[in-house]
Parts: sequence; C-alpha cells; structure tokens
Amino acid sequence: MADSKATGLAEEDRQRFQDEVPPLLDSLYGGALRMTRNPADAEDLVQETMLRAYRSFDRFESGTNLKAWLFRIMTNAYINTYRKKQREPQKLSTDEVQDFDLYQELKNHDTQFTETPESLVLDALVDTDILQAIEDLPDQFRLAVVLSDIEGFSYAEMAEIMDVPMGTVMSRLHRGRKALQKRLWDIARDRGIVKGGPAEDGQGPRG
Amino acid sequence: MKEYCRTTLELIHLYLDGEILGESQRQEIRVHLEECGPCYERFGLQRRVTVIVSRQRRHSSCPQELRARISQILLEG
Repeated sequence: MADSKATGLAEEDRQRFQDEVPPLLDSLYGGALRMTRNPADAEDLVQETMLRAYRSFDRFESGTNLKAWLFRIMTNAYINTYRKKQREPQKLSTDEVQDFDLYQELKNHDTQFTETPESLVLDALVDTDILQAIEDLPDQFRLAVVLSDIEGFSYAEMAEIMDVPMGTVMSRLHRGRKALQKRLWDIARDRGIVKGGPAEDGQGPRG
Repeated sequence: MKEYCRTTLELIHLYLDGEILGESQRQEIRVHLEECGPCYERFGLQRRVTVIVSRQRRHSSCPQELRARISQILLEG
C-alpha cells in the first residue's frame, strides 16, 4: 500500500499499530494529563507521542510491553518539550516533606469520632482534592507516583520509562508518596476537614 | 521507634508493591505486621492512600476528537 511505503513501515506493522495502540490511548492521555497538568498540552503530547511511536514502530520488539514502550516515548517527549516551558509547583519544600509523617498527624489530630481517624480524613477528600495533590508534586516525584500508582508499572518498567536506575525509581516513588501525603494533609486542613496548624507538641507518641 | 519497626517501615513500599523482596523477607514483614499495631496501621494508611490515588485512573478518557485526529494522521502515514 502506498501509505505504508511513505512511512517505511511494513503493512503488517502498520496493521498491528492500528490494532494495538488505540486501546491504550485512554491510559496515555491520562498519563499526559497528569504530566502536563492541562488538557491542551496533554492532547499535543499524546499526538506527538503517536507520531514518534508510529515512525519508530519497526524498532518495537514484538512480545515486549507496548504500553511501557509508549510511555517511554511520551516521557521523553514530555521532558524534552513540555517540561522546559512549565513552571514547577512551589507548594512543597523538601525539608517539610522530609519531616512530615501523615500517620503521626492523624494520630495527633483531635478527633471525637470512634472510627479510625485515617478513614475519616481520607474519606472526606474528593477526587478533585486527590488530583490537585498529585498536580502539586514536583515533576520527578509526580511522574514516579503516576507511573506506579495510577498506571501500575513495575519498578523495572519505570526504570526503563524514566531512564534511571531502579534505586532512583524507588527513592523518587518513596519521596513522591510522602510528598503526596503532605499535600493531602495540607488540602484537608485548607478545606477545614482537619483543624489548625501542626500538632501542638509536634511529637506525639512514638513506638 | 524500635529498630525492627524502622526496618519494616523502610521496606513497606517494596512489600506493598510486591517488588524485590524475597519470600522469607515478605514473611518476616507479614509476621511483624500481625504483631505490631502501629506498623500495621502505618501499612494500612499507605495502602489506603495508594488505592485512592490508583482510582484516579478513571479520570482519563482520551477525547474523541483527539482519537479521530490520531486515526487521520495514521491513515495518511
């Protein structure tokens, strides 16, 4: 066919791309939205990813993880193109996150309820709060949390996608989850779900 | 915090994610979580937050218009 000649892609590959890639578009778009944090950029990023993937699809190894391969292309495109023009959120300082302990905060939080305090606070947060907390994470942490906890990639796949060693994946994910808990706590406080500032003695019982 | 609790909590992400740890390590953590209330609660909290985050995948439908645009580009090669 003429169009397959234009890309240099064998007809068989072209067909496979058209069969196997569209079912992954929801995931890719979701990932793009979490990365770029706005729908217009997310659409551009997915489109760019599709173009790049289509052009290099003959190098995709059949039998390996197509979703991970597409996310790797998208992550590269994001880092090279979009991240440069985006402002980093400044809502979290590293020190604050380092010292933060959601469990302790919840324990210290004055609650008159008999139910466990964690379920009350977390249940009161709605999806827009959770999405906001994810958006507020610094870039590399956000990427790690999204790839792991939303897209369900393994550490090994994330290492491939982010092009970093496994140890870096683990550290970013760990710190990202901690930072996310800090943001969720801040949002719960802003929304009046929990009262006041930091716990009075800042310590509380320790095991 | 006891040393054993500290070690358990350092590995809790790996345990939760089903990554890297061998079966004997997983077993040790399982036993500790059964015996230690605070560690079990911390584990439960982390798991709950992760589940809440994972649910956000429902907010990710690729717009039809973008799907159509991509199909068009691919058809044109």
